[in-house]
Amino acid sequence: MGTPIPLPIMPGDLTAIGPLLAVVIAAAGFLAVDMAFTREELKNRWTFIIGIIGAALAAVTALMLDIGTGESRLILGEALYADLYTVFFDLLFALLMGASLVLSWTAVERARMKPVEFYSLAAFSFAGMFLTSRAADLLSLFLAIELLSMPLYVLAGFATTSKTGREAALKYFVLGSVASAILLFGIALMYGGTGSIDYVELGAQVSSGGRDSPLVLAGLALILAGLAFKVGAVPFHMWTPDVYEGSPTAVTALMATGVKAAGLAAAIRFLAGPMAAALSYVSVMLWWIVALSMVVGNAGAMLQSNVKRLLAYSSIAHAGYILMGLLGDSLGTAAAVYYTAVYVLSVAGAFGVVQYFGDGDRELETVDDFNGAAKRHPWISLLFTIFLLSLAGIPPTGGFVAKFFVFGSAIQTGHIGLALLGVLTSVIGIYYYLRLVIAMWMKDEGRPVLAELSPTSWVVLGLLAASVLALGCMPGWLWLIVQSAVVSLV
Amino acid sequence: MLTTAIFYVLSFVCILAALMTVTLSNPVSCALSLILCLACLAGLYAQLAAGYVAVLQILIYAGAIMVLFLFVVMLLNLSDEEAAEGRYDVIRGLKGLICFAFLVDLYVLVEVSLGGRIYGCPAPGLGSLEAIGELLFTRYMVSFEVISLLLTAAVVGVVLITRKGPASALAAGRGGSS
Repeated sequence: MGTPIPLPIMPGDLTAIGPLLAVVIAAAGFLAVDMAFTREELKNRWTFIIGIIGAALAAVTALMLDIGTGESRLILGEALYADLYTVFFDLLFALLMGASLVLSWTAVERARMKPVEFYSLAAFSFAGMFLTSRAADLLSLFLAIELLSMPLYVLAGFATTSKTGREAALKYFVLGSVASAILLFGIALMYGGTGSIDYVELGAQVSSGGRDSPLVLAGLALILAGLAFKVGAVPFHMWTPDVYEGSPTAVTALMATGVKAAGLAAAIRFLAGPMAAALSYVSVMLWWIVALSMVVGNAGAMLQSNVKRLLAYSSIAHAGYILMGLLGDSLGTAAAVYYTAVYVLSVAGAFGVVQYFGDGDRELETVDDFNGAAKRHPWISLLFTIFLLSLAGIPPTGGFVAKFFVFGSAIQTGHIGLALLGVLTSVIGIYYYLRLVIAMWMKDEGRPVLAELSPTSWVVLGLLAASVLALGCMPGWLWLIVQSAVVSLV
Repeated sequence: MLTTAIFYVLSFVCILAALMTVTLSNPVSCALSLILCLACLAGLYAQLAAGYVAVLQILIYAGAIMVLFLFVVMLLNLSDEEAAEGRYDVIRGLKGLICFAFLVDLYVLVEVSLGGRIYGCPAPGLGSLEAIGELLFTRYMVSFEVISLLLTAAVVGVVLITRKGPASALAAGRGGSS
């Protein structure tokens, strides 16, 4: 061959994928710790230290990115984006990783998993999450989603001995693979219809008469279906309740926060980024996904007595609310991103609290198990209440502001029916979230047990609650950041 | 003319083998049919001027992975899959109908969007080792690296699954037989 071809690495590119590198190094560190030490305490201590360093490094490198004029930049052979949007989600995922390290520790040990095993796999999953928000072509998107799902397939089932646990793991694996296959099929059709997988190129083709090609339409529909599967939106939600209930709570927390946020980050980038022209072709499909998710999710949650199932159904509903933002203009997209952030913080907190209730091997399962929790453990009940109120969308929490933004943009862009449906289903939501709150504060016959919380757990839970409240009381600053992040998408 | 004939023969055998993979009852025959299907696919790749992919398809899928499949099937000593009860009931028929509708749908899609349109011959050198190598380390470098991450994650996962203690391994064995 003739002249050597240079690698497509420009100065600054490695900083731009810094968070990704940080978690990959952390994953390697976990594996090294597992091999280097034989004593469990040493393993645990170093796992925690490396994990926290990894998460902190991810956050720091995310902030180090030079955003420049705010325009989206393609890096590393035009495979990934670097812009404010990626910084936003990087910080969210880094926070989530730190929170998971601190809050899930007890639940991980309770599920008879070793922390080092759990977090080494979870770190790979986080690497996938960091990739989803920056994928600039369909191949990167697919690989990112695979990388984030595969470790969770293992985590959902490898330590479980119960029948429901194995059923959940198998269901998650099989249905997740089917979803990936659907996504891949859509990508193949898309490539067959346009001859490209780059978002920018695809966007150009779609806006210049791509509608004539049924292949592109079918591809779009299948990609949307695959993504809806990952975020658990109706009618691709069937797996959610069983898998959330059967998996170890630490894994469920990851699924409900990280996987969902990553799927949404990918969907928002895909539908509101350079491909925005394609949105009008699938808007009817998206409309139905949103409407059905809100109705089925909230109605389903109303009927549940198991807390994890309840949160699973409610997460379906929240996926609907978030996707509703995509039907609007750029303000709607910003609302969707804002809602995603609030949702992740609230659910991370809610699952963080749920993980501490219960003793020995047993977790608290039903709503009635929480009866009288506030009498025995007032502070953690207060924190749990804040997270639940935020999920229900009651002021002064972030959930209220997020719903306000989403519904507002829907009304402004003429989706009044959908906004009305959203408000009505939110009322159902208030009912079932308040059932938990009432069980904790107004009933007294039960005696729920709380595992011991370390000081760091208190700090993390307190910070999560404070941020949820802050996003409700002074939403302005984040709203501005989110808006400029969304502007950089296109 | 000859290439068209080869294409149709390969496609026909490929589809037939794929059908056999899902309909035969003996797991070993299923795996062998899958090998045939993959080999025919390799032939189709070769016809598309993707010689390197064709060779890899044979080496990796038909060779390494399917041999692994066969080993697992034989080690597990699986007998003929028992005929499920109500094998041809309404639900199954409905599922088959949906799949068939999807197939027809796909055919129409391809026919409508690509019918009569020819994308032209591949450029010389496309699909060669050099071209693939160059793309792999320039345009698709990130994907290449992410795949290696994915494989690492998979290896770690497999080690974790197999490294279970005796108690949980026993439980898993019970679960497998029930």
